[in-house]
Amino acid sequence: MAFSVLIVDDSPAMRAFIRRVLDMSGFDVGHCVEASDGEEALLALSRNWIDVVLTDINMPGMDGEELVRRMYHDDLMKHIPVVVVSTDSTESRMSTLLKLGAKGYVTKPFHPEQLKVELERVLEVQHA
Amino acid sequence: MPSLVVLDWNAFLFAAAQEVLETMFFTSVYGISQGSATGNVLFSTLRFEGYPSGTVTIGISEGTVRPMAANFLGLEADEITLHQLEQVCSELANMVCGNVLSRTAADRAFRLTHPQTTQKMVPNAVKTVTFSAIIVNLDIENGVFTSQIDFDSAFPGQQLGEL
Repeated sequence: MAFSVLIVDDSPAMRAFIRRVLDMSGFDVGHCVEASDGEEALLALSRNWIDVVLTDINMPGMDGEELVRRMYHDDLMKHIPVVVVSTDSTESRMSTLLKLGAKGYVTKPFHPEQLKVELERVLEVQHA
Repeated sequence: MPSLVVLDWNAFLFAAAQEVLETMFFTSVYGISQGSATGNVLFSTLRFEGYPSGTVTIGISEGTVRPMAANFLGLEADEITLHQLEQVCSELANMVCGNVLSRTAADRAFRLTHPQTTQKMVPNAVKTVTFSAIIVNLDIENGVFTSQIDFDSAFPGQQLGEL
């Protein structure tokens, strides 16, 4: 099954890297949409069918934490799993994001396989 | 108030830079370099605020970072623009900073600013040691990678120096 992925990161280089990693890892990406902050991500979610969101936290404008908070207060978006991809590995930040509703957390730097494993874990949980 | 333990920031910075370069840029790290990045060098700096506060700067020559950017972006080295090189350097600095802070204080929150990347001609290897700086130069594929932490002030548990 091919998945539609939304990548949210203010760095175009990081978005390109994540796309590349998904391709390299063999994760089945059907459609890939990109956004540079939380607001763009919400707009993309309202316009596209998305199976999973990969988001950074620290972004100008609406950050990743606010994005997760808004998604989980929206009846149409709260079922879409979010995986946080961030350099921030502090326990307090991870705990906050997971309590808000994020389903996974990958800390940069990461091995390509780690991202695939986390995505598959999250999507299996979601589709079980 | 955090406990007053001695932190080996040199070791943390070395390990952070090595992990980021090898994991995300598929670039081999051979060990400590006696020199620093020279030529047309891209410097990327960001600020971290918490306990402690300061800045992280990375420096890498255009010739060294170009093949790394190709690895990162999945493009041919000669088709990468200067703007893309700057973006890659910014991301590299961001990851080194986040990684080194996580090694020192996994339970403490830091706020990171967005990296700013600039270019500068550096004709000769520069050896700069200041009281409140940690500097690590690494021999990597195609050149030297310089990383530096400048603290706003000395703080308990800090070990300063250069590797």
